[in-house]
Order: sequence, then structure tokens, then C-alpha cells
Amino acid sequence: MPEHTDDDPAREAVLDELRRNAIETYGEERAAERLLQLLMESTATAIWRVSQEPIEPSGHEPVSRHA
Amino acid sequence: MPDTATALHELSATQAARLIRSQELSPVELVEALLARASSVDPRVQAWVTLDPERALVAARAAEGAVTAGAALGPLHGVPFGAKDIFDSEGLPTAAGFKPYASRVPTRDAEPIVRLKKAGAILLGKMVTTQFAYADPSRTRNPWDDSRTPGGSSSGSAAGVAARLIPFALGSQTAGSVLRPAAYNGVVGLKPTYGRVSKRGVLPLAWSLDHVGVLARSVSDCALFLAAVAGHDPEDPASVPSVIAEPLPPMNLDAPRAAAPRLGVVREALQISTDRLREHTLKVASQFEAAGAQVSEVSLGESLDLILAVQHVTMQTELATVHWQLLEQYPGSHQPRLRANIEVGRLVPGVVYLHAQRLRRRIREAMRRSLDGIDALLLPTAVDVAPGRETTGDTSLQAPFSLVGFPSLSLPSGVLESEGLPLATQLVALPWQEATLLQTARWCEAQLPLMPAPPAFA
Repeated sequence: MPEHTDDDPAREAVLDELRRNAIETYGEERAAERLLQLLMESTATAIWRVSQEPIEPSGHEPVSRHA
Repeated sequence: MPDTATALHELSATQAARLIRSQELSPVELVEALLARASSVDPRVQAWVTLDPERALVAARAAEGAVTAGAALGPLHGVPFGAKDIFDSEGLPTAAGFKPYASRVPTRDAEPIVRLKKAGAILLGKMVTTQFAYADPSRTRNPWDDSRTPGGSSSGSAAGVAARLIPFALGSQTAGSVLRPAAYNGVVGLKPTYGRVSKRGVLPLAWSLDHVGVLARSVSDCALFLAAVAGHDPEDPASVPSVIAEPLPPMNLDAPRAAAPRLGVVREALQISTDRLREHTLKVASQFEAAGAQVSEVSLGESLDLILAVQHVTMQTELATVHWQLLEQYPGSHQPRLRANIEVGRLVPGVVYLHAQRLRRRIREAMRRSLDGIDALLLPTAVDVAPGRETTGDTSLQAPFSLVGFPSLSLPSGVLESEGLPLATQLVALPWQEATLLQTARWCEAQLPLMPAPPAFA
């Protein structure tokens, strides 16, 4: 799992969005459970890290091939 | 009969196949010996979910008859194997550790089982998996130390091979579920190139990351396995047609190599390993260099934190897609970590998943470049030895190669004397270069001390 930067505002925004969606989808009680909270933290870091990475639009996106 | 000093349960797949072919070993006696071993040892290890003694003995008697009759024999003729309990098996429950599936009995074998049986192998039974091959620990014990995890998700397959319950076993890897259990249990684990081995009939976790692999006691066993199961399957959309997949050449791993291998020690892997694993890996690399290998330091070409972020987003989104309806259909039946991952995975935006796939292609090209001019990457299989049973371990050093689909192999490379736990070294090659990977691994294996059985199971 990538190391997260707690004070990065972009990551905090991702985490807030995940928490809002979790409450809306699963209810406050479930969204507040520790395991879900921990996982939202690591997922926010991963989403933030992926979203941060620029990539040139390549025009024709290739169909996914794996190796 | 084999050397009387060698108990039948000690035989590797390669040794057993050779002895059966030369009529020095009866497949019936081998199956009976392994069933007896299961009775005496498995209560401690808990590697088997289901044994199939009646049908295994019928198959063993038929195998013995074929040998006696001088019939054409497959490369694994008469050799028993186990299958992780996510591989469909005709007439045997396939539950994936999921209670609602306890009575799910497939009517058809998964393709890898079909191919192993065609090669003459005998399915002895099904082995414990973590639920749906995810990260909630299973009941299986590590034969080296039952306070430690055997790893997962192929926990039964790895612990069973280590405890001499079975010569080899089918496993699967989405992040690190073949290589990490192999490392923690002191056995060899192979994950071939994505698309090399059919997944038809294998319950999915995350489709673009799931690989079929094997746990065995030697590199030669892995080569025998791969030759039997590799090849295109039109029923598996991820199986790569032979016009694209480079064919697997015939392998004679015992033939002398023209030259010692060229190995690249992965800088990023050493940076995140514990001191003792870093020191062990550097010692192993020096040992290979002293034996003639060309050893250099290489980089993966992309930062490890980005690689693992792409893997996280990909795996979580796909497993949520695969499992969210099942979660609603059977509330309360999923293990806590899997359930939480499905729930959070549903919240990952689609554009992030797709952006991750574009980055994944970039990462794959960078990793290809890191293998320019070398035969294999060399790195620790895991960041440390097996941790406690509350986890299945850290996937950080196996997951990058599941993400890009490159073939990887874990080789036992020593024992950490202070804790009595196995140490392991990972080798990774370019896609479709399993022959190079296995030949390199065989050379490395020959430089290392023979891995003993876990002391309590020797």
C-alpha cells in the first residue's frame, strides 16, 4: 500500500468523498466501523496516488491486454 | 521400490513420476501412503478440505494397470495432486471457504484439473483456501511454526506440500497468493504468465489479476506441471491464443546450461524489505555471483508506491464487481476483510479504475525495460518471514508481477535460524519466458542448500 500523506488536501478530499458515499450507501453505523474506516483510508491513498499521476492522452486507447 | 530410506510421502512429483514409469513404485501404494499421511498429520496442519480416497484409489489402480500393460503414459502418470478449493472438481464439493457453497458440487472439472488428469495425475482432494482466495486468514497452520501464518490465499496447498501431504498442488494468485505461501512454507511456487494457463472453472476474485499457479517441492516439478497445463483454451476469455502466446519449448532442466544466468537485483524491493531479508537476498545474490552468475542492480522503472496503488484500485474494483451481488444475496456470509473490500470497492469511481489501467500499461512497459539484457529479476519473495496468524502477510513484493502478468517463481533459499522459519528468493522473467525462468531457477536451486522438511514433519 502506498504511504499516505495525511495532510495532502487532495487526498483528504478523496477520503471525504468515500466517507460520504459509504454513509449514503451502507448507512452511518456500518460506515463508521473500524475495518471499513481503515480500508477507506488506504483506498483514498491509492485513488489519490493514481489520480495524481499524469498520462498523455493516447488518442486510441488500446483494448486491455495483460502481458 | 524407491530407496527404503525415502518414505513415499517424501517423493517429489518428478521423483514419483520417474519411479512409477520404471515400475519401481506402485501408484496405489503412493496414494495409500498419502491417505495414511493425511490421517496422521493433517489434524495438525489442516490443509485438506475434502479427500476423495475412493476415486483416487480407482484412478491409481487404473494407472498401475496401464504401466503393467505397457500403455503410453503421460508425464505425471500416477502422481497424486491437490487442488485449492476454488477449482471446480466434478463430483466433489467446491466451496471456496464460503458456507452457502458448502453443497456446491460441480459437474465438470476446472480446465487445469482436466489437463493434469490427461497427463496422468490423480486428484487426491481439495485443499483449504481463504474465503474466495482473499485475505481473511484460513484455519490452516504453518508446519514450521503453528503460531505463524501459512500465508494465503493458497494456504492449504502450500502447507500441504510443505508437510509432505501431497507432492504438488494447484494454487492461484491475484496479488501474491502462490508465491507468498510458497515462501512462508519453504516450498517452490510458480505463477506463469497471465493467459498461459486456463482459468475455466476457477472461481474468480479479480479477473485481470487472477492467475493459476502451482506449489511444489522442486523447480523440475513446476516445469512438469506447466508443460501439462499450459495452452490456449477457447472457453477462457483470458486465455491467450497460441498465435500471440509464445510456445513453451520442451525443457530439460537437468541439461547443463551454456552460461550462468544474468540476474538483476531489484533496488525498490530491497528498500522496503526488513534488514534480515535484505541481507539474506544480498547474500544469495553474492553466492550466485561467486558461482558464475552476472549480477547487477536494476530498477522497476516506476515507483513501487504507484505500482501498488494501481494494483489496489484494480483489485478492489474488480473484486467488488465480481462479488457485490453475492454479498447482497447471502448477507452475513462473507469474511470481514472481503466484505469490507467489496463495499469500499463499489465506491471507487470508474474513471479512476480506467486511469489505473492506462497506468498499468505504462508500468508494464517500464518493467519490460528493467529486464533488458538479463534473464530474471531477483528479489525477496516477501518483505519478511511469516508473520502471526492474524494476517496472511504482506503482498507488496508479489503483487507487482501479478499486476503486469509476468511469470514469477519463489525458491526456498534458507532458514532463519533464530526463528526456525523459511527464507525465500523470487525470480521474475519477461512474459512467455517461463522456459528462461525455470532454467534460471533450476540453476539457482542447484547453488542453494536443499530445503529440509519442517522439523515437526520430517
